[in-house]
Amino acid sequence: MRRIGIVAAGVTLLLGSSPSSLTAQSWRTISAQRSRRAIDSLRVRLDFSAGVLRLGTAAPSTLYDLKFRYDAEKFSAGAHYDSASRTLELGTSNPPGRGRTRSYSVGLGGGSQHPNDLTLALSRFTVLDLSLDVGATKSTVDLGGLTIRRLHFRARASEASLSFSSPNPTELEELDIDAGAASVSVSQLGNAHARHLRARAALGGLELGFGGGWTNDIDLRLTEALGSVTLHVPRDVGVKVRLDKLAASFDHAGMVSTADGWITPAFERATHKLVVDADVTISGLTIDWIER
Amino acid sequence: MTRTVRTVVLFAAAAVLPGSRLTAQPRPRLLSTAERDSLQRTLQSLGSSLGAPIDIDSVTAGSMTVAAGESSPGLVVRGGNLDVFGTVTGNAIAIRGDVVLHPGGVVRGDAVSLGGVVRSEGAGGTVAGETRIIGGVLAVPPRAVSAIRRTRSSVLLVIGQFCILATIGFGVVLFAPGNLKVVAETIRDGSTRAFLVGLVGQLAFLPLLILGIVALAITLIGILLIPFAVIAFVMGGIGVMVLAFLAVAYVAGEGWLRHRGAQGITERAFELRALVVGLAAVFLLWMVASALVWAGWLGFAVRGLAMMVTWVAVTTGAGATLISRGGTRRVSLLPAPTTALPDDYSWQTPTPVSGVSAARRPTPAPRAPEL
Repeated sequence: MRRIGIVAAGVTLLLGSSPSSLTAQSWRTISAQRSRRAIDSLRVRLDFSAGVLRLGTAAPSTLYDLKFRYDAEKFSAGAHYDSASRTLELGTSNPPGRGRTRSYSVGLGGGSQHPNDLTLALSRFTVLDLSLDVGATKSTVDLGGLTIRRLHFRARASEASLSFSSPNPTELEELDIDAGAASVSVSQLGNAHARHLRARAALGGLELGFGGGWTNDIDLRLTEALGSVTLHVPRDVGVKVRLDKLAASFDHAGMVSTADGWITPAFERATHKLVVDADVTISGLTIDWIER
Repeated sequence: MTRTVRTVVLFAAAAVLPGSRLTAQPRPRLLSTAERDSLQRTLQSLGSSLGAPIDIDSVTAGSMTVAAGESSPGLVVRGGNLDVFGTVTGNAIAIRGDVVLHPGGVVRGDAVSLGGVVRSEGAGGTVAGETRIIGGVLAVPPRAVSAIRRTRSSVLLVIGQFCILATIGFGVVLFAPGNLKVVAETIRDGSTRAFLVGLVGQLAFLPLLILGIVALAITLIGILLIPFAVIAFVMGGIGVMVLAFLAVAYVAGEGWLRHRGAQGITERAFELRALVVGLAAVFLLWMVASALVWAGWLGFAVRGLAMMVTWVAVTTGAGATLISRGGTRRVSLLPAPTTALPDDYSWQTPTPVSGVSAARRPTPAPRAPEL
């Protein structure tokens, strides 16, 4: 009987001990900077599987400045700059047999209290080609003031906030946002200086805010399935929506129906126009009118 | 005395004047075997965090200085500082030490410190490449912790699987006890034949699936059904496997309970108990294997044994399930009892040719005439 008790106690200890007591986190930090010098363009490839991400502007003389903190026991992380192609590749991944990303899901219903942390600052004087792929992350990306030529943002299970808090000095030739199953909010898109925007949402929620200083019209190609998309549009912007929907809802308050789709009454007279081509399946599309 | 004074002055000058103490020659101490092993582990652990690759053969132990006006290719020091007064044309790397940039010092490559800092003295020098500082844990902690965690998660996984199968088993006993019993009886009647049928079934699974897909594709309209057919086929296969496993567990548990002489309980309670006992018996091996997950080859061997036992059990059960068509048809695999009959009666009609002796129909006794 006594032996059974000892065995039971052992099993209880083995199974009942809290993960935190067994997983002494092994934090590693990486701090890296590079001077801007004569570098006029930079590609950034970010693949960040889990944690908290902040992206903003760097000091004037700096090309990039990154500060990375991660659990080396569970993640493999790196940052590599290739001077020939002027490409900075950085991010985290799970090395085989070392934990799982889900241990670090943040902001999505209560995850780890000690997530990985990446702060990346980029030069505002260098033309940027950004490809940001984020997993289970909480991302705050302030693109205001950066000179961005291309931006691809892909979120998988994130809570992400992107903002063009000040105008983009150059034309944003490609703007591609894939919300996946994430909750993604993009604000001040008027400052992006983009003519074409592609956005996808599947299972997640996507909010596109078209505030900011418009300099050109915007074409939005929207693909949505099993999610919800809200467009926050200034009242003075003319909006036309061409909708291809299947078992979907479209809140078209303030718009009138035409043969071509839905249109705001003052569309033709509007200084700036937003044309939306939406392919919506089992989802909801809402237009929210905002003041500038 | 004069010589002594001169020597002291020279030493003092060597110690004070920067230019004189700055020698590009590293201290000629190579890493010991233990230091090399430790560094190798650290570099492996760091992986791509390093940014710049480090050739372990180029690492020098202790501090090192690049003199002003001198030029040196890439330098790596361990356990000391790397002072740069002159020019480093490659990367300047200090492991568990600092890279110190003095006025006029130039690093044309990257300046990297592992477990230290990259700092400037006075007006400092310049770094053409990247300045990188890696801190915190350089080498991943020892495996002891992860072994405990692996064992724990492995044991929990087995317990979880047991609970899932036990729950399904309860459902089968409550809602389809007949099927389970028929499959179990089929196993008892002929386990070898059941095993062989199960083996053939496993081998034929994929070809049958492909054949079905091809057949549907030929009909053109059936192409639309292919995804559903594949899902249904796979689900059917999983169902067979689960029922097979439960039936084998039931047979094992039932045998053990009858051996112990379980009495005084209802039939349903007996069935449930037999199932749980049988499942526990099969999972005991898996539990031992998961508890030995840290034990290298021993754990591997026990896991292999558990896999083998489980495969044999599932194959036998699957064969019995197929033979009995999911427990809906009782097929005895035992040889039918033979009774020796005389040749004369081999082809006899149901009515013997010799005839049936007639019996007199009972009739009521004649009444006596009324008078």
